[in-house]
Amino acid sequence: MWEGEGLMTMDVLTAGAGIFSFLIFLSVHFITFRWVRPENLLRSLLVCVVTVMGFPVLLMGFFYILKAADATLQAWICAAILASVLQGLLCFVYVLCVFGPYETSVRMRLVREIALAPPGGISMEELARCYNTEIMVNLRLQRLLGSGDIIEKDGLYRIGREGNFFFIFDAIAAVLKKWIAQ
Amino acid sequence: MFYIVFAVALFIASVITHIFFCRRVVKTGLHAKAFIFTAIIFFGVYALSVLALWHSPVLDPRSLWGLPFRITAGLIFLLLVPVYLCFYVLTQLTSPSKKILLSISQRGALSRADILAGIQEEHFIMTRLNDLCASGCVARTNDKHSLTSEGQKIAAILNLMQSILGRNVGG
Repeated sequence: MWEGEGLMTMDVLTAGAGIFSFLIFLSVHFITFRWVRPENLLRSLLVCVVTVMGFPVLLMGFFYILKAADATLQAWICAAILASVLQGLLCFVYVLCVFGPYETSVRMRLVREIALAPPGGISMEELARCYNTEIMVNLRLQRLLGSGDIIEKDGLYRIGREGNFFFIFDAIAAVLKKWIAQ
Repeated sequence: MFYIVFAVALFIASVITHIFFCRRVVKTGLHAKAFIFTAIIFFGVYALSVLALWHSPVLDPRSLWGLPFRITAGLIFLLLVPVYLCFYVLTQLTSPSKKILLSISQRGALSRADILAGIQEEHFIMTRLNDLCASGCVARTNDKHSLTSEGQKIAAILNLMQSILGRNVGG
């Protein structure tokens, strides 16, 4: 075994642990999200991601006990952290680029409604009966109320908490927009 | 940890290159493809550097700095690309949820009717339908809308996702 081959195994184990943990998240997600109502979607997603976050660390700990690779404890700790980072990034990309657009995208909803139309196509009036601004707003108010980002009292909606993901993402995008300055 | 730092540094360099490109280009709009192209080039630099350093004595694999997390670092680079694109797209587009939250935040409290009126002003559905027509996913003929072959492929993927996720249409 040449020097570093054990550490190369460590690299493969790290990537594998991160990807495997993400697959566990996907399995839990596919099974449980069938029954999640739209208003509980964001909260359930967050719980699912946080719950599986520690799995890469457990997995790497298991590999450490089994001495799956010849490496120092320092290397194993780095590997566990990196596996968690990898799993976190995979979840982030999945939620924002796959599940998010499927669940919330206006364009995707329009494509689906037009796909269900008869062969001759669908007019704007017919499309508006299936999906319109009111339906779009109702769906979003449901989700935002369920996640606690907004609260409703006496018929008025208010911000539920300031540090929600939308504002955080918006702040980062605002900084990026300032740099791009288009 | 050299490979992790190197991969992240190259990713940051690709972002900076993209920002400079966006500032210089005259045509407005999304330049997502430009970033993907830039990221591919920088990832190529990473891959070639990894190959060059493979058996190099420069890095001690037993030290913290020299730990050979080559694959992991490469994967982190690749995953950071869509992460950046998500934020980049937000600089150009406003989502209905964001509009709702910003409107409520600015006014303190809003009724459902006010929220609806504010969203209707943005014409979210019409603009996105026009985008779908412009991108070739939807064909518009005499006020009738139908899916093109490209749109049908997207619909097929959405149907597959629905069968896997077991969830009804969102929107």
